[in-house]
Amino acid sequence: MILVLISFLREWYRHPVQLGLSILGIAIGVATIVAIDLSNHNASDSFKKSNSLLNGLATHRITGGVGGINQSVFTWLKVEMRIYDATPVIEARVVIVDDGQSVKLLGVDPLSDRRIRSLDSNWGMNSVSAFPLFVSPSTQQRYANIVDSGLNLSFGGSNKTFTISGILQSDSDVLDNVLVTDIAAAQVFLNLKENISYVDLRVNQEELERIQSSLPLGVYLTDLNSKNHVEGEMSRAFQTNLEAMGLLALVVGIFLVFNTVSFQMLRRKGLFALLRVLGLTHTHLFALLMAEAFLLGLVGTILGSVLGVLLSQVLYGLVTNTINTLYFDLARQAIEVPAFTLLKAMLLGIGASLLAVVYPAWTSRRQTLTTQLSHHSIPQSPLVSIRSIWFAIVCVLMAIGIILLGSSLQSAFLALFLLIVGMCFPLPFILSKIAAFIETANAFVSRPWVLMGVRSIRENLSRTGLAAIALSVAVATTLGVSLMIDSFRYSVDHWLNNYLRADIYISSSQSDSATISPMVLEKLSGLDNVVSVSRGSRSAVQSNLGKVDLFVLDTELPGFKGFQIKQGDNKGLWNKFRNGNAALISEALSSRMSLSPGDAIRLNTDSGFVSFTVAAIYFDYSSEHGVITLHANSWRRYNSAIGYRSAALYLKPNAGISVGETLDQFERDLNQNGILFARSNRALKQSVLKVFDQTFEITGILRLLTILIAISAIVSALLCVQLERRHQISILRAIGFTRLDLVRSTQIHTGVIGLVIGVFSLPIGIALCTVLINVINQRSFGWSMQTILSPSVLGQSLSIAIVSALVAGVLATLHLRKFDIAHNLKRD
Amino acid sequence: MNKSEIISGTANPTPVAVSVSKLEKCYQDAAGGRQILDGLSLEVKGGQMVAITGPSGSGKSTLLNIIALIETADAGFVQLDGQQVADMGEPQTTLFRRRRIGFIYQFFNLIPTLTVYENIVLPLQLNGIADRGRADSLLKSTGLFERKNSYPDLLSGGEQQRVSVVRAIVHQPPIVLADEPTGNLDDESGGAVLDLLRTARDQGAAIIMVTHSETAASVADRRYVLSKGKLNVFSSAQMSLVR
Repeated sequence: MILVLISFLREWYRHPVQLGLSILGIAIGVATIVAIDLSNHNASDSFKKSNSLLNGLATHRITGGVGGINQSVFTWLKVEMRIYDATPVIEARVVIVDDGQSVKLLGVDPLSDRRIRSLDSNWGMNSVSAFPLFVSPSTQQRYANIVDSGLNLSFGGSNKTFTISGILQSDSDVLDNVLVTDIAAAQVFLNLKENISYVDLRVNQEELERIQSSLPLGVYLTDLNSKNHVEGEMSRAFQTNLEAMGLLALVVGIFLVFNTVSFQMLRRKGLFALLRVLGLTHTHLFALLMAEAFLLGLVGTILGSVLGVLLSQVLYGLVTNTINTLYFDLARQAIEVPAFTLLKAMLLGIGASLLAVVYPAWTSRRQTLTTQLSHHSIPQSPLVSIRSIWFAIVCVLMAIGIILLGSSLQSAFLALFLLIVGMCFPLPFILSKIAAFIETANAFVSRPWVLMGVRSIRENLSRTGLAAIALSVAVATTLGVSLMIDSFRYSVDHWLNNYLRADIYISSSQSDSATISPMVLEKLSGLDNVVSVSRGSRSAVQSNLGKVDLFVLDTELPGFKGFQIKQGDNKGLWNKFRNGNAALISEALSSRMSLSPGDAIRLNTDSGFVSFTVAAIYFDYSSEHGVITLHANSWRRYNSAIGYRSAALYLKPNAGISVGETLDQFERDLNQNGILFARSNRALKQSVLKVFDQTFEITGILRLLTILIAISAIVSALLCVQLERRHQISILRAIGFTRLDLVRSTQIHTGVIGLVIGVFSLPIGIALCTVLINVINQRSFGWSMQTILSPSVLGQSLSIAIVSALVAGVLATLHLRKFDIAHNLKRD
Repeated sequence: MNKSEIISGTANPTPVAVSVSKLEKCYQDAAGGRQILDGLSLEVKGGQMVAITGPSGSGKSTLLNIIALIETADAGFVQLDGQQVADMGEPQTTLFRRRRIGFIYQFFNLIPTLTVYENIVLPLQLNGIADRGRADSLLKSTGLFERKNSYPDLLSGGEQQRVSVVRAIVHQPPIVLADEPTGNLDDESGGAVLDLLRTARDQGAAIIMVTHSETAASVADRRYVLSKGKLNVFSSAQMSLVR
């Protein structure tokens, strides 16, 4: 047995290219899943650590409406409510002037804060500055050269130099993007006067009830656990989609591993038959092959895990950037590699390798030893049989059934998987038929290299079939995801063009809780060329269906026309919206809360819970959790005041004054302190699309990885075929085939495969895109979008398939330059 | 002497090593069924060498494969070394082949990734025989000892076939099957291979050799021609004429 194992190992030693390709195949597949797993795990971990450190022991948070809360609330809590574990906090995003980095500034009261958080036990003791700053050790190191002169922070156009007075004691790096200062310094710097952002408190049930029963008007109590849960849920759909992309890459990776290992099985079938003749039993041979596959899988998995950890650095950066942009602040931390991820990698890498041995071993059992001993007998692959069409039909029907019967995201992904794999399976069968057709057609052309090229397609399908399926899965996946993103971008662009109808948009450049002063809002309509001003306020309110995002909009008809109504009666809608209790809800909210036109939703107002009628559902891509929009007239009926956070200016068309001039006037007359941020319609659209593109940057990398894996599969398969065809090639060379003829023959072989894969992948990609748009996106975000079949994206996919196959062909013919005819003739 | 006596060889007390009777084998091809073996019977005793000749496609290799338990007959009985093989399943047939049969191919079929010595030792290892003395002595007697650490692709055809024969007989199987063992060799190399087979016969093995070579066939104790699915005795007169 030892000798047999040695012979296997020497076989690999003699064929280092095949060994390298096999290990690389396993490694790339494993690396992709490890990288995605690590980036997702670390993003979740950062989120938990950030919460744990920044919330400390706090159980609840008291927040204001849209404008924060007055600091007297803290006094009331301490003095009247006798809540001693409470601490006031000011929170805002500021910019470090020296390098333009955006960081979170926390203003805290050192004395009360230590009862809630343990950021630094000694802080404040050494502080001799009016504007002290406490930073993490790595922040201090980063700005070591400018520490003496202080750190210059910018907020809303005003700058202030803070003195670094202490180091935050934390062994975690979640504080790297957080600066802490004294609450009074923050209040002055942020120009908040007597306001604070929130009060964190630790209370028991009795205290909680006491506070709830006497909360002042416009002040809210939030359970931090449920807040964290909601925030965690927000990014989950994004991460699930990411994992799904990773799984698709893994599927292609498994194909690659399977293809490589089963190819090696096929190549050595003669050796295995000989060993069987010598008396090696099936069981022993199987055990040896499993041991060999285990070794291959192990080496590939170790290499893949290392590659995956390196790759995760890039992916993690992209994940945190996207989560920071779309969901919540997430500090980056050093990548942690949990044992579970490595275990998963081992199971997948080694498991796929072992699985790849089982099928060929099982089929070889059914063949006679005579057949296996024959040099030229290649078993007919089941992939090349008509049964593959039936398999595809069954898979597609199952996918449709799962989509129709299931409602979860997981079932949708399962259907997607079945659809892709099932539809790609008949590819070898179709390839064999097309090759046969070309062969017949070539009878009229009579080019021997064409004949050899197409004949070798059919001859080698049992070896290249799986690789062709892998490339087809990769191309179809890339096409489907690209079409979905393209359709999504088109829908968002279309929506933005409709929704953003004003010429200038103004918002607060301060924290989320900052509002635009009523005085400024009044003066906006006085700007030259302004026809009308819309005002908006977005905040979370309690409803009978849980917490929802409420957008209170004070607008005239032009602003209302921006809503693209998906469902509901348009007739008289404006009047109902402006004057009645009609609410417009986004389709994401409608889908999440199963609300339809005519339904009622009860919102918590200053006058208690009030019922609003859903009048229409509109398209909206601004929030995956959805939003309910009310006209300010409706909301004002039940609430004392509305703190507006944004404004939209409609300018007189063709008045000879440009948008830029109005913006300049606004900055000069109304925004000298820079606390507001004004952008033209075009700039706002561009920034939204920039965020969109940034969100999908990560899928671009994953698509590239998937294609790379598939190209490795096809290159590996073709290289192996070429190596195995040495004898045939040497005969062809001996009878007068030139190197060019052989290259042309190989290019015919790979080119036809590439073209067929490219064309074959188009309908599969379109089907995949349809499921992604109408099922996966609907279930993840509740957004519907128009399917756009962009010719450039379709052409790109076709090119990827053809170029990949041709590149594989070129690589596979490189060895012909040093081909020794005599040696290879003798060897066989 | 009746036909069965002729086929079973001379009457001596040595037990029958190979006994096949009424073998039927039919291959299906595009033209329909092709009867390769048609009620074929044969008996070979230990220490006896028989040669089977016949035109290409007459079923000689098929017969060897059936005796080697590599293929199965459509009908008929096979008894090897006193055992009925019809009821054997996997892995019994493999274990039987491992212990009791040695097989020699026209194209050597050595394992390219094992050295000469390792190729020869492999059957001993598979059979759990620790003693390597016989391997060494066979290597010496065949003049291969100096090349024992070479890989097969560095040997000449004659050397490869000698290794192949040594591998087939090293564990002293009672049955040795040879499929055109000299078909690819020159006279000198062929002679060396036949010497090895004779040695194995003298040590008690039953040897069945399929060959096109008159030289090879002439060293056999009995000679048959396979034609139309049946074995016909190559008569003494014919043998004398050939000799």
